[in-house]
Amino acid sequence: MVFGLAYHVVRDRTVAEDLAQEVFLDLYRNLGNLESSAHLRFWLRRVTSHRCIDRGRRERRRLEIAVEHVPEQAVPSSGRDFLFEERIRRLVAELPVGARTVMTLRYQEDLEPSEIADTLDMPVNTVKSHLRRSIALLRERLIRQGGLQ
Amino acid sequence: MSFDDELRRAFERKEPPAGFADRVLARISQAQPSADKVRRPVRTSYPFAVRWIAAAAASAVLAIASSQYYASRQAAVEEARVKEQLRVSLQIASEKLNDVGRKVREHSQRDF
Repeated sequence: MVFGLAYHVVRDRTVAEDLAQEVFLDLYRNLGNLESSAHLRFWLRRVTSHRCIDRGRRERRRLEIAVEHVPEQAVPSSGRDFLFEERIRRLVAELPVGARTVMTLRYQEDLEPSEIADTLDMPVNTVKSHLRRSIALLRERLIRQGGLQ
Repeated sequence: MSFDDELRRAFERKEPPAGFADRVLARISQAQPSADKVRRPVRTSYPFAVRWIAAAAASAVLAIASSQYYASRQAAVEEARVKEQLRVSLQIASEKLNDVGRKVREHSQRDF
């Protein structure tokens, strides 16, 4: 969860691993304050998201996607279009870091907008607006590229 | 497949690289303070002799202070008693002087 969340936001395996290590180091220091597994999951999502946003705002540069991170050939038997999924991920990487984090929490962690709002200390309406605008932008770009009907 | 499902697939969880847990544990052990850097705890107890001396000194100070307070209190009571005696004596003397004065005036009026 932690590494995946960091990776989808920062789009760099090395930076994502560094962030995830920092989150677990923080967890080690705060173990005494966590009361349940639900609290632990909430805490991990929250700390990871905030660290990703901080890192994204500090760097403010587009991270190039290394060739090794692009999935190899699509496997026909799985029925999945890995190239299309990668195209979505590339387009998501162009979104501002806040919107990227909201999208990751929604589609990786399957959180409801109210849960995302709690995790990010953000009004629910802002979360909904991020989701609406990001999805509309992705659709529009994919249609323009001919990847979506 | 809906666009939402496509997004879920694009955002599916990624596993961390091999050896990630070991690297986290290594960072945690680095973050722990080494034995020579651990600050000595503040001393909270003293040897028996020191505690005994402190207790004896405190008792002595208390005893001296009590006796001084008692002595000063006694002196104040004595002073008040003497003042009262003096006041009563003066009152009696004054009454007697008044009596004498009155009798002297009576005699002198009768003689003239």
